[in-house]
Amino acid sequence: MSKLAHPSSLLPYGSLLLLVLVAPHLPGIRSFRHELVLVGILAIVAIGLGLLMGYAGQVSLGHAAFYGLGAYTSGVVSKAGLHPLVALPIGLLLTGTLAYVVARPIFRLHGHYLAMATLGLGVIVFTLIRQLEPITGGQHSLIDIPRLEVAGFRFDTDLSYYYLVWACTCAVVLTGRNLIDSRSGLALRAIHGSEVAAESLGVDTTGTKVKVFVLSAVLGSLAGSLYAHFSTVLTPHTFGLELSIQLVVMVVLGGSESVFGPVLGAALVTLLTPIMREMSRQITGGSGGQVEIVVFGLILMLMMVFLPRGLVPGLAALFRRRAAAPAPIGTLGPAPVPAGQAVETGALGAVRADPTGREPG
Amino acid sequence: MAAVAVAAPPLLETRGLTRVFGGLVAVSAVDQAVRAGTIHAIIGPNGAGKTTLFNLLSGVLPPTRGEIRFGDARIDGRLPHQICRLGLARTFQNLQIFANMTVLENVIVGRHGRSSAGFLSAMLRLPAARAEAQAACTVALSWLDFVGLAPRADDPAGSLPYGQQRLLELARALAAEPTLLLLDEPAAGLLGREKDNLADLLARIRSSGVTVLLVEHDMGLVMSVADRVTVLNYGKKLFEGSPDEVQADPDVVVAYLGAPEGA
Repeated sequence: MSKLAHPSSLLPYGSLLLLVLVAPHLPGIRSFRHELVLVGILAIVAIGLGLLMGYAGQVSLGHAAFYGLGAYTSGVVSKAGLHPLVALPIGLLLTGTLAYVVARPIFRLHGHYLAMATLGLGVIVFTLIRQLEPITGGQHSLIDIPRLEVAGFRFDTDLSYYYLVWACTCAVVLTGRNLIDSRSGLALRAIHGSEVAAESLGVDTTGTKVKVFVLSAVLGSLAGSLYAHFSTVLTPHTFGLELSIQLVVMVVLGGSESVFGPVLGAALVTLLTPIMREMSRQITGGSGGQVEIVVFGLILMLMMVFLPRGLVPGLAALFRRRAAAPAPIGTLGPAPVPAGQAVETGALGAVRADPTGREPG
Repeated sequence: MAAVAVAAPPLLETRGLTRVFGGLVAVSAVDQAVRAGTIHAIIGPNGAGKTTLFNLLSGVLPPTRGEIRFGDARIDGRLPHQICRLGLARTFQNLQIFANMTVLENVIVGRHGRSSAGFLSAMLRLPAARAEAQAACTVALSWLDFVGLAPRADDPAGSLPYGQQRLLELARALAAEPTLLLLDEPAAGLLGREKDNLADLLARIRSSGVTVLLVEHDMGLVMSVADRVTVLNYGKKLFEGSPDEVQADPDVVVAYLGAPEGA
């Protein structure tokens, strides 16, 4: 239960922390600070989505909407003169309430209705952002959002904002891991194992799933608020279906069993997208198009076939096979855990299937 | 002993309990009382409605008609997790083990209704949540010990042999600290020695004050441990009495046992 005390379980957290601290100063990476901030922001959304997909066994195709709600609430409210730290909780509350209202009736039904409902929600929110011009600026963007300023310190450089965002990301990683490891996390895994047995043992299955969904929406909103004060300009197309799909790709790519999976997924997707765009521009000699959508589709299919549990559990299995040798320091990969049989399950709608119950990282 | 049992109010009581599936009346106007402190067996041929009755009692299915009283509360129409928290736990005829967890974790889930830490206190690892998790672990281990599975605590639950998975379900249900325990064919698939062990466990569970209602096909087990036996046939209650009375009743013999020496 008290795994934090176990040194080998601390390794992935220490490694992540070290990486986060030094990354923006490494030669070659320094110039990508802006992108690294975005990775941290999107990792927060992806961790929330990962909890939903991996533990409630449901897919959301509308998480960009929660991200957008947080961003626009922060943007509009702080432009109206309120402090960003007041705007942020307003966004959380708004998004959480909306998620609750949407999820409550849906989770009473058994099946994958949430994907459909969130798809619709995403379209609605996107349209509202575009059409409510007097409030959101619509196609003309919401501009001049104030930067975050706390106790006289302005987070107006990429480096300062990087540390702010990644402090949040690390906190989300830690609290997410705590949740997975708790009574509620066990209940969620029980629901996945046998819903009828979980219910008969006192687990409020509907209520628990609703809570995970609300939590994951609220994390989306938090990330959106962070984005608003970083970008200072919000345009509707940032929050469309494309981002929702990218978020699902992040979770599937990294794996949802561990909180590290979505972080890795966010990093890969965020950093590869501009590279792919550039490559396609050079190959097609001009317009380029949206080649990344094709590639993401391909990634989704390949992951489902070859690594259904995602990269992080896949790497964990690799380390486990070399259990004799200690894991290299400084990798994002999880610590070796005592050999357990790895059961292959889909990252989509599947819970950590490691029957030893140990979280790989 | 018998006089006391009769004087005590029933722990569980159904009145006119009915469940219809389409045109099939699976459970038909069953009036049944279960007295506290007893082992009460429900027997009947396949399709008699025994498992449906259990699903109604535990809230897995809502009744079509009729009422169920458990202790002081009406529980018909309530959800399974609410009924569990009132003190009714069950096992399943077709095993419902959490194969994605360890043996110990399975039993810890049994503590769910008896603990309260929410999302927030779990995420922040508040001392209260950690103490509760530790306590749940300790209690779960003691129930594993009770059924003799403590040495397998850290094994994947799916790796247990069939008979031990039945015991694991029993430990998991007991961890919920029920006042009424519903066991759906606990002896199914058990070997001779495992059955003796089960009979012994059932007697110990009863003497610890937990009332047991069980559906069972194994007549040897029923006749040796049950205080009271109800016979269901075609969804209706055919007979209720002591094991001896049941064996002596000609209707029961015809409907279920088939031949006088069938017991």
